[in-house]
Formats: sequence, structure tokens, C-alpha cells
Amino acid sequence: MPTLQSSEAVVLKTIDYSDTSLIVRLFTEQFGKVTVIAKGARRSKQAPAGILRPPNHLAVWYQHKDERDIQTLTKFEFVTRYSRLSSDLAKSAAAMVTIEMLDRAIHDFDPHPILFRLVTATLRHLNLSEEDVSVMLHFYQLQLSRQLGFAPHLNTCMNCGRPLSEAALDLTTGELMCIQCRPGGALRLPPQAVDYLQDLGRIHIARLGTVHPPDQAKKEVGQFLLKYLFFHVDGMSNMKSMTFWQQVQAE
Amino acid sequence: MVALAEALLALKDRIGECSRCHNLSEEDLCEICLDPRRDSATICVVEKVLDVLIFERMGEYHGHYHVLGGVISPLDGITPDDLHIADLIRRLPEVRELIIATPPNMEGDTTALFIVKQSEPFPVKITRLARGLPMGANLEFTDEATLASAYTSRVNL
Repeated sequence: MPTLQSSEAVVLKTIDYSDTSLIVRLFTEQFGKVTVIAKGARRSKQAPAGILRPPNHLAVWYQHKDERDIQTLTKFEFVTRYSRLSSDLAKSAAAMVTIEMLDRAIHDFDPHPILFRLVTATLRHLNLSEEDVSVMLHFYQLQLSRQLGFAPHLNTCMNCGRPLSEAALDLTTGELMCIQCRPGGALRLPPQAVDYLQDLGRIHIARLGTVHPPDQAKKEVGQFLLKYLFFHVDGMSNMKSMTFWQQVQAE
Repeated sequence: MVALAEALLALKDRIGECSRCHNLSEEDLCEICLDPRRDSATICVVEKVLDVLIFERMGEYHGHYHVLGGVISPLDGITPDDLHIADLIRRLPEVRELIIATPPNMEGDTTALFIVKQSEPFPVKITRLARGLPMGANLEFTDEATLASAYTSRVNL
């Protein structure tokens, strides 16, 4: 017996299905990742397929049947339009990274309302704020690792417990250690990069505009977060959105 | 039946891509690129070959085209290197105006912004197709995204 479910959701991916329909992967606030079919959504006289595109934040209603992998979408409408993302190359590239990382990190029907709030807050901030897009993306990556349950210890060495000033990522354990414990660490973080990482760990998203790291520290922290996520989350490698983001940053 | 099969095979053998604009072509250059009556200094950038046919059906455009072969969509595994963007940039020294006609969604907009960025070294005028209400549309049945776009792109009377 189908039941009508409703939730807010972020669109993760859309695939054309037949001449008229769309298959849409959603990250719903209430039910986690859910795949739905939007019948007739590609027909011109129906609500446009453009609404059902990443990274739009929608309210959705769908018929749920336990035995189905793909549920039937019955209604959808905007909650938040991220209209400014499309007019800024760095913002749109960062939004794509945000969505692809999320899609790869979460599993079907595994609700995570706090992660949902993190994603929508990050997208909203990317959309409206004029702050440094790299800083916003680094904040998101760090908080994502925290919500997934493997946040790095930013203040003390995982091995000896000493306060961290300069650090290295140990690629055998995936943890940050002090230089004394991991002198040959594969990725070293100088003091400015550690300071920046610690700032990201304790600040609220609304105050990101007060964080102004040196370019070199941003670069090092970006590399660290990527390696850290690759180590701890399956399927994070070969992200095309990250390749594009790096290409945009290099231009 | 045999004739149809042979015709399809011949079609497959003969039809390729124009080496300049990536439109469908039986020769190295397509009919549009070879037509001396068309304005070669104006290029309309489209996502796919079908879009060329749609523009040609309109009958108002007399410039050349460049078919990208898709839009930048990392979530679908498509980055700029998978598209004919580098070929487009190589054409720019001969171009006066670039009309970007990628679809009005995030991927289409991202592609447009990326092309604009890549075009910065060249003194080329870059325009984008307007977006908004379709002819004969009724506001009552217009979705909010289209209406917002039409509002943002409103013009003086």
C-alpha cells in the first residue's frame, strides 16, 4: 500500500527518462537519499524540468512503496532558489562539489537532518554571500567530515596529545599528528594552515566572513581536506566536480 | 528492407562531424561553414547538433555555429575537457560576436561563464540568449523560476 510522504529535499542528480519523465535523486530532510520518478516533468506544459535540477532546494511529495527502489513524485515546489549560483563560476563550481561530495557520502534511506541543514546552509551562503568561496567550501568539507563521524582532531596530536601548531597528515591512520610524531608525514600543514583549520573548526557559518587566511594556507588546507575525505569516505576519489573546481581556481 | 538497411549503413559511413564547428557533415566542413553568404565572424554556441536545426528553422540567424557536444556537468562526469570548448577558443581570433545559446539551467550557465572566462584575451562581443516568458504565455500558469528570470531580464519600453 503506497503512502504519501513529504519532505524538504535537495536535488542531487537528474537523469532524463523517456521523452517525458525524469529520474531524480534527492537528499530529503526526513528520509535521507531517495530516488523518485517525475512522470511528465519534461513535457512543456507541466512544471518545468528546470526545477528538478541540482542543487535546488525543494519541498517534495511522493508516493512511497517499500518494495520499490524508485518512488513516484507527485508534487514539488521551490523552497529556496539559488539564482545567484548560476551567475558566478566559482560559486557554481563549489555548489557542484558540495552536491557531489554529499551524494557520495550518504546512503539511501539514511536520514540525517543535521547534514541536511549543513548542506542547505552552505548552498544558501554560497548563493547570497560575497565571501571567499574557497573558505566556504573548506568549512563545508570540515563540517561534512564531522557530521559523518570522523572529524579530524585539530587541536592536539592524535599520537602524543601535544597541542598542534605545525602538523602532518599520517596517511597510514588518516589522522593529524604533530611534526615530532610524524616527521615524514605525506602532507605537512605549517602553523598558518593549522590556525586556519582550527578557525574553521570553531566558527559559525554566519561568521565565515571574518576568516581571511593567506592564499598559501588556503591551498594547503584544501589539499589536506581532500586527502582526509578520500581517506575516510569511500567513493570520494575521482570527483569530476573537484577537478572542475580546481580548474576554475587555477584560471 | 535491404535497401533501407543499406541506406542506413551508407548514412553511418558518410555522416561525420564538421572539423570546424562539429555540426553533422558529409565533408570535412559542413554546408553552413562553407556557405559564403553566412557571417563567419558571428558564432552561435549550442549544446548539441539538434540545436543547430532548431536555430535554422527559426530563419533569423545567418552566422556560423559551434556545437559543444554537451554542457559542463561534473555531476554527470562532464568537464570542459570533454567538450569542444578548446576548438571554440581557437576560432576566436576571427570572431566578432559570440552568441551563447546553452540551456538556461545551472550546467548551461556554468558552461557560458566558463566560455566567457576563456574568451577574456580576445576582443569579442559575447551575448547570451534572453530568457523569460514564452510567446502567448499566461502569467497564471508560469512557474516561479521562469517568472523570476523574466523579471530579472526585464527590458525598457
